[in-house]
Amino acid sequence: MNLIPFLLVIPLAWALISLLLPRLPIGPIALLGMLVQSLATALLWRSVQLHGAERYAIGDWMAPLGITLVADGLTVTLLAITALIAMVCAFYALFYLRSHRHEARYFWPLFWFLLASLNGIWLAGDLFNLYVGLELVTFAAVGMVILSANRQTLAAGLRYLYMALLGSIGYLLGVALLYSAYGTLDMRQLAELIEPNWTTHVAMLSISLGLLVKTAIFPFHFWLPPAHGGALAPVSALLSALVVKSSFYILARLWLDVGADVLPVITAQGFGLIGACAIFYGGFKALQQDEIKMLVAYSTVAQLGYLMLVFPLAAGTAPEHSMLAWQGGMLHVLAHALAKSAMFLSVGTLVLAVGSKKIDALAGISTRIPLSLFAFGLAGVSLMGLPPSGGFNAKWLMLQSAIGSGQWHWVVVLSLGSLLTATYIFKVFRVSFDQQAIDSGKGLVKRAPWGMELSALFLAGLAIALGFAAALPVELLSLPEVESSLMEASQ
Amino acid sequence: MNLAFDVLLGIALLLCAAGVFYSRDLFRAVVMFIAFGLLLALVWVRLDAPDLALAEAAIGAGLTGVLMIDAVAHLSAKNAHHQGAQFDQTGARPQLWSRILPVFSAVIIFILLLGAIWWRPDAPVSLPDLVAESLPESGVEHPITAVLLNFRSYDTLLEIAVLLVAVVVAMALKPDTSEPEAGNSKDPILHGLSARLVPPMLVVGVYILWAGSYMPGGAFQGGAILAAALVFLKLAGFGIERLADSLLRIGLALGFIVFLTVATSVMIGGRPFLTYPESVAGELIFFIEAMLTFSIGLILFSLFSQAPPPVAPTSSLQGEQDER
Repeated sequence: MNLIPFLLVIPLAWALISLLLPRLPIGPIALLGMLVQSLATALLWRSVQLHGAERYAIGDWMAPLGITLVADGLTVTLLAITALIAMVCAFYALFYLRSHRHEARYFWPLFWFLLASLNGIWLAGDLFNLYVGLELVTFAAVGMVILSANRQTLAAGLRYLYMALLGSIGYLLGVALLYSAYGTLDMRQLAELIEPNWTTHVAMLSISLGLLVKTAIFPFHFWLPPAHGGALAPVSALLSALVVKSSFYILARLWLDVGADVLPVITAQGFGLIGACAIFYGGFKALQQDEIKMLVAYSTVAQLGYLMLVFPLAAGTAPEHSMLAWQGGMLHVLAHALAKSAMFLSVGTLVLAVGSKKIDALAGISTRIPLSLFAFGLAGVSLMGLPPSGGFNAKWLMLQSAIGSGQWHWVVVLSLGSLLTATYIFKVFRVSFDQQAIDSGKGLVKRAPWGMELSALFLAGLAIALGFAAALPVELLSLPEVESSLMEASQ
Repeated sequence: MNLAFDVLLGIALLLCAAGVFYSRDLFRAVVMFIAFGLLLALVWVRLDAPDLALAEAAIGAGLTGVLMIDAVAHLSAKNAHHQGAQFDQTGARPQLWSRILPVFSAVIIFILLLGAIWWRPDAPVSLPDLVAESLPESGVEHPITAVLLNFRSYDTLLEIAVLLVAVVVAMALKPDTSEPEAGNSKDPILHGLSARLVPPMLVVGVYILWAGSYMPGGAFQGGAILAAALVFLKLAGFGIERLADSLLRIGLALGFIVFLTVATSVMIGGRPFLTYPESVAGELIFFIEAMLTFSIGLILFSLFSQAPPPVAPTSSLQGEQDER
């Protein structure tokens, strides 16, 4: 019995349940669903670890006629991190949504649709299917942003929607060109057929621009901070941790998996350059914010920049340096997902406790609500790239790759970026440890539900733990897919 | 002759597009957009893609147009105190660069695309041949329907989910305290017309659904016509959107539920996800399509009817309402 389709069927079924039966306790039922989902993910993970990548032809139609789903090392790693973060966010939302009755009704259906679409994207092996997945992600994500339906979130959500649709058009245009040139939408077949020619370059340019808009890479980042900063805390966590990674994942797969031979060095360096701009601009803007959620949202803009550095490090370099960059980049996806979701969840708790979004309102809270602040700090450690943490390992691998391939300019960017991150993280600490405010008894807060504090702490702890267990995902990433597909052919 | 027609069509299409962008009156822009959609449908006909033409006319021009007119009515009700539905409320002319930049980037994109199509390599794989080869096993005779509901049915399943999510978002935005709508007064002319128009619309919708298995047509187009009939009824003053909430929700999700259930239950027999048993493939596809038509019609209609009623209609709105 193959598990792959269940990773889609389970969230879709739960989406229908929570949509049609609102009188049931859909929160606890969602938690149950997350357990089932996590179990299925874990089993698939184990199976891929033992037997190598799996391919699944939907409807029993072989590509290019039908659609193939692929579960390789990268896919199952992303599936696992998605299930993990979504489960913690669901647990957090159980407590958080108590103070948001109206939003709770439609939060759950959209949560499940979002999960289904993310799983669909990680598993997709077909370019057009990825487009449909991106549409589903977009609509579910925009829907979750505007759940609270006030003036700010509506404006942010609408801007997000327009930019995401613009990105979709760019992506679709490129896919149509590739299809007309090569006659197939299957990514593995395309990898064998693709050649560097004008049509390919225009198509890849269009696809890349579309996906860069969706990933909110500088200079297309402007829609992200109001959308991620204005949403409910569990929504912000899901969006920053997972949703923006989905379009980056497609970009990375397309260039480094499918089109590695047609990627011009100048394009790869250009990707790195906008990544560097994102790191500095995002960090700089984060420092200027006076609302805590906006600070974290701009931090996402900066951290997404690191992902773009994978391209110049992985393309056109020696295989071992390329591999290091690829592993570092993917580890950064995981580390940032954990750290940023932890950060948004802990910030959500803090905002709820002090009743204000301003950073200044956090004055002296270090003695009042230490657990959430600790979670914020642990997540910050990983974002800064201090050892031991997942963020450190990711940046270490990327640094090694940059030094090894002699690209010293990226070494400078990586190090300065970490310093900038430290600056804005410490801005929050300077306020919260304000001795005067502590002494004067300021910063009296409401008690935060234990479940919320614990969720954030758990994710932050995992972000640190990833520093010790980085070998596990990295090993899986270097699973030789070629070998397993050969095995499949011989069967 | 055909060439002359195509050239004229192309020019008219471009003029309509320019009209949408450069018209300062929102209502005129929407009318241009609808005309653009209809011309685009003709382009699809000329390109031998009648399925796309049907969808474009019904959804692109028809329903989207209705939604846009509705939005304009909302905007002009809000701006009634200022100066109607104009783009810029200050009355200042837009900056020169904001007019030139779109044209400039459009020209660049056009040149890039032209090159990409001109120097396009010959596709090494011919998917249409493969579709034609496998058509007998698909259970239907029309290749488009075979692709949408069999070969690439997974895409269609997710597309239906996208529609469902869109309507869920619309429902989420609806305020909790929805007081009963201030009696949409029954328009006698529309009311009389609806008795004559709606039954044939429904028949056409069902026919298009049925035709989908052997010629252009299918669930999306049939659903769009069903939705149009519902929109017409609402405009004529029938309070059909006041269906019981739970009933409506089940109706919206029905197509997706049936599709997902069929897709999953075939796995009991050891087949992969979404593999119809060959002996009943045609029947299953038709059953799924019928349910989808019903749900798509309701979903498209709901997107229209979930919109909040215009705020405090003022006298300046009257003009638009008459035109509507």
